[in-house]
Amino acid sequence: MRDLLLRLQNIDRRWLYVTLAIVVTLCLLFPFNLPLYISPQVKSLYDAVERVPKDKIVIVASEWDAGTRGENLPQTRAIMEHLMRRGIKFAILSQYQQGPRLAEAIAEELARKYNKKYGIDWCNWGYKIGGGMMLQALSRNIPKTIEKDIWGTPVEKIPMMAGVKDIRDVGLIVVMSGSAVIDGYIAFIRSVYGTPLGFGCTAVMAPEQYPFLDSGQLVGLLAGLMGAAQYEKLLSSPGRAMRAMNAQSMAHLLIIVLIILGNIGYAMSRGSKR
Amino acid sequence: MSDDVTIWMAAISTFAIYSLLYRENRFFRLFEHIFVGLSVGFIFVTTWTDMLIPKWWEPMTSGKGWSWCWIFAAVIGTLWYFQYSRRHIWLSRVVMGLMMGAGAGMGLKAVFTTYMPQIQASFKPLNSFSNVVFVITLICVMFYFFFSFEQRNPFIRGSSKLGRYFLMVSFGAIFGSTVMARMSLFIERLQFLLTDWIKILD
Repeated sequence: MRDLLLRLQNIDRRWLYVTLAIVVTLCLLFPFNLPLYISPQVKSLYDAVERVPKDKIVIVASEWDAGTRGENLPQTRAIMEHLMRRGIKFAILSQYQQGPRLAEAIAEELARKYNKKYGIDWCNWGYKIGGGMMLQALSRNIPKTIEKDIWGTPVEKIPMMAGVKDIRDVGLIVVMSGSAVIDGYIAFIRSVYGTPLGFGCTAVMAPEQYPFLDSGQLVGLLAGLMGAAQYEKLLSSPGRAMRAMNAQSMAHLLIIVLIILGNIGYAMSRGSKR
Repeated sequence: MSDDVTIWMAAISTFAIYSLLYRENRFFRLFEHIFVGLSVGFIFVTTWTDMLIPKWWEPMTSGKGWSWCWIFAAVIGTLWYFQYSRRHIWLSRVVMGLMMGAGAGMGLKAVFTTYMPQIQASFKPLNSFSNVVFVITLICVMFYFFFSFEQRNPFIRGSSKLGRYFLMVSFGAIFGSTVMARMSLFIERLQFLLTDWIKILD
């Protein structure tokens, strides 16, 4: 045993990659049910979507690109599914060039499932530049800031945009991102106008978002794939995120075991040197 | 197996990028360059179609009143490129100064609107266990960042040390979350290969 642990100290790291790939693949191929706990911040975002009045729209800020697709896509999908199920109209907005197209594909897929129509139930404002300045302008005058949707249609000709003038006509903003773009929404919209703001972030960003939850600047948080899986469970609509959670848990277990074995081996090697 | 060419391209690209895990190779480098080229091309096109055309070209060519004045926006913007001229670099500083002024103004506003509510939320009543833990952690971490004087007092030194341990715990949480994030991306790629490419999964 001692020899084995010492030998593990010098193992080629590629064997660890192969082991991890096998564990994850097996978990995906042979699904099993591990308990999934709903965290309070996911539930509060779900409740915030439930509270949105029917006469207000929701902004789904798709502030992500292909690099964080693994986490932000299931989050965007879960939020859009909830909105379509409730019949709340929403608009896609992005300060990322790939964001509007990636979100458009999700909305189209869900629109077929829930029989929703572009322009009536949802629309895509597309890629908008200007960062904080754009967000401030948007808060004061939505049609003038957006001007046209992603297909070049003037905003005033989109049926669902009738009566939407400024941020007071927005019931909730949900930002999905792998970057600090949320700061602009907090600083220039949430803190100034009080519009409820939810955030779907990558897991790596999650620990830094808790102060915003604590201060009430965020109404809810989806932390990475786990947050998306919990939201899917709340919707009773298991998707890829829920299926991935078993693989994620087993991969974490493997990493924990490897860290413990590695440290035991390291301690033994130090002991034998002395 | 999928019969969609785009799915096949995505699958081959995935294998090419992951091949780096075995070792540095030409297959990986080829796809790395393709990815960089595609990104630059995409950004170039969308900058023109989604930024310059609707926000500058169309207003300028609309022929309404003073719309031709938008030409000055291009003139001011072009001043950036004088950075490449040693003699006329001062011209780029004009536009740089404008940007810095606007950025500083926005930043100042953002500091107040972002952090004041957090400072306000830090004053918690000590009526629950989690609030007590929060306040102790906050005070200890703030003691750790007192660098203006030497920490000789045992209470301050102890609190500072405790603050350092609290910071270590938070760094551990951030690192754990990083592992989780990377794993999620890997799982998503495997799901894509098994579901959309090989079609073993639903």
